Amino acid sequence: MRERLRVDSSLVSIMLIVLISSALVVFSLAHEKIESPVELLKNVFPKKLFSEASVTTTERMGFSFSLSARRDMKLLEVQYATLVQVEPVFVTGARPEGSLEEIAQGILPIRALLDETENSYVPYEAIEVKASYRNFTFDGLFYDFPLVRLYSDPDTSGQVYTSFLILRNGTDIIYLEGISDFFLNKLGGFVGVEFPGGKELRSAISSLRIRRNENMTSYSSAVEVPDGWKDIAETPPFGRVTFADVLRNDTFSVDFTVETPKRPQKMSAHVIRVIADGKVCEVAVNLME
Amino acid sequence: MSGRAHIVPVAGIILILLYAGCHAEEPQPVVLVYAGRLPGYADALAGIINETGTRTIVARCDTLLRALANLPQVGCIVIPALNPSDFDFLREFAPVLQRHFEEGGSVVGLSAACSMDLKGMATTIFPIHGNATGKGKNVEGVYGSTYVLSDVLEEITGGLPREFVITQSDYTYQSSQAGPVPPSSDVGKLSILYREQSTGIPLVVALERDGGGRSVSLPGCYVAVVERLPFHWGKLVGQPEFKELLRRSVAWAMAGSERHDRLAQSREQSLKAEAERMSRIAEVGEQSQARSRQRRLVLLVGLWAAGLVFQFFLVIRFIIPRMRGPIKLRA
Repeated sequence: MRERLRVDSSLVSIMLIVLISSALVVFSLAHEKIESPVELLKNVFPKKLFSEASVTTTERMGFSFSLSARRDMKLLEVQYATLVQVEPVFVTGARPEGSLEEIAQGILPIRALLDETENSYVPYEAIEVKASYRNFTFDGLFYDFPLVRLYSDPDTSGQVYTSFLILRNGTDIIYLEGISDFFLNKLGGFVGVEFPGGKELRSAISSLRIRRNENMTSYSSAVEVPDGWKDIAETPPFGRVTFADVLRNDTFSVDFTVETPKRPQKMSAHVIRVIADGKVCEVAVNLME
Repeated sequence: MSGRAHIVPVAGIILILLYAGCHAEEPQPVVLVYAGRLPGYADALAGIINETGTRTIVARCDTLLRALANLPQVGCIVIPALNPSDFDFLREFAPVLQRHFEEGGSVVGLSAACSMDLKGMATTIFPIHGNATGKGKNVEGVYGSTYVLSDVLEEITGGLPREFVITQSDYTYQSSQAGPVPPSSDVGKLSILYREQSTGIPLVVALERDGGGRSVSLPGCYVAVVERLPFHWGKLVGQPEFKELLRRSVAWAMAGSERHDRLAQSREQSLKAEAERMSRIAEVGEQSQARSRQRRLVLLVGLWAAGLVFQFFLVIRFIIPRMRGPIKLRA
């Protein structure tokens, strides 16, 4: 006669616990969200632009920004904005009280652009940012107007203002405004500048390299562009570098060297936005003295 | 789905379309006025242009011109900047204005802005090529020059007398060793509408670019900021003839702004296209994310199932036999 199998009830309990707990672990892992689709690897910039320079000398300054993808993406974009500090001109003549947004929207160019570019298709972007400089930390608001880029010629990107940054530390306000590009005077256009040795520079950027994994595209502003390099005028328009069909663990970098006799009078900043599949996922604010 | 259930999404879609429709409304054409460090002068000129019902924006800072000049609603840019400190900015910004004009935009320049060499502005947009100056003089109690009709351009000269005096300290023109050189342009049709009475120097020059775009150069209209001087800008903006000349010049230039017409007409279309491009990118991204989530889920479920199979194997192979009792050894 076949012996009847007697199963201990504790075994059944253990098996049920294992089944349920493993299911919970699996489903919680399945719903885990990756916070950012990219990981910033490097963000190098000079804290002080032209530390030794007078207007008659040039200094080389290196900028490097690199990241890796944490997931597959159809399109990854790195958008540069270069801004310089100026005294804000307020609509009412005086700085409005209130939130950072209220103050920003009281600044004449921001107010005018908000009014003149209002539409429901291509809206402006207002991004809350954090920045630090020396021992100070700032809360900030970055405004970008893609509509201005849409109607502007990329060759004139150095003259057309698209982006604005307002930073607050306590009651102090720092206001910067600028262009959508890797740096000022990318395509020359130096006005009222004495060049060292009288030799006019074609661009403030002497070289720029864009890398995706092992593939590198190099740009030079030298009169005679080295073999295999492209002219600086061929850099991605409006400082927007795009990478299509990105795979997880792909790495990217944008490196460039600036050599210019033209120095901003006050503070300047780079705002680098990383946009993954149309959504801003990282914003780096690099303040430079 | 019931009838009521259909109504809600349909009403939602209609509301969204109505909202989008309202916001895609074509903005009114606008005239940008940039007088650099003289916003009061710019305000006065904008006030004159406003009298015709045309919307104006005074660029009170360089940034405003940098930010707004390329927007599709800009029908005309008026540049009466006088201050040498503004010329550095204009030299830097000249490529944008030149491109604006080449794309069929319209520009009106007064005094130095249209006659000085501001990085090509005085050659491509304004055909004055000024390198010499003539002086104004006292004419019937007004310090300025007498403008005399030359070529007729009904839209501008039609509402003005054949001869009138405009307040100005100086006017500029091109001169060579052989004497004054008439303005010239190889980009379109040029008309000299008014000349200085005694010298015949062109004082109002209209240029219609082939393929669109118009400019009006007023190489006189040099005024001062010092109020006690007889050619203070306040005196110029108070003159009925100047007001009429400015209004008509701006209206003529705007009417020929091919850039504005083209961009304003296609504005909604181009914005929609850009919005669609952006939403397509986002959509493709979301789809790819959904696919990767799905792949991840399948992988996890597979691993889980494999783990369970292994667990059952362990139970069946090792635990249950032990529960059946001690293993009997064969004799």
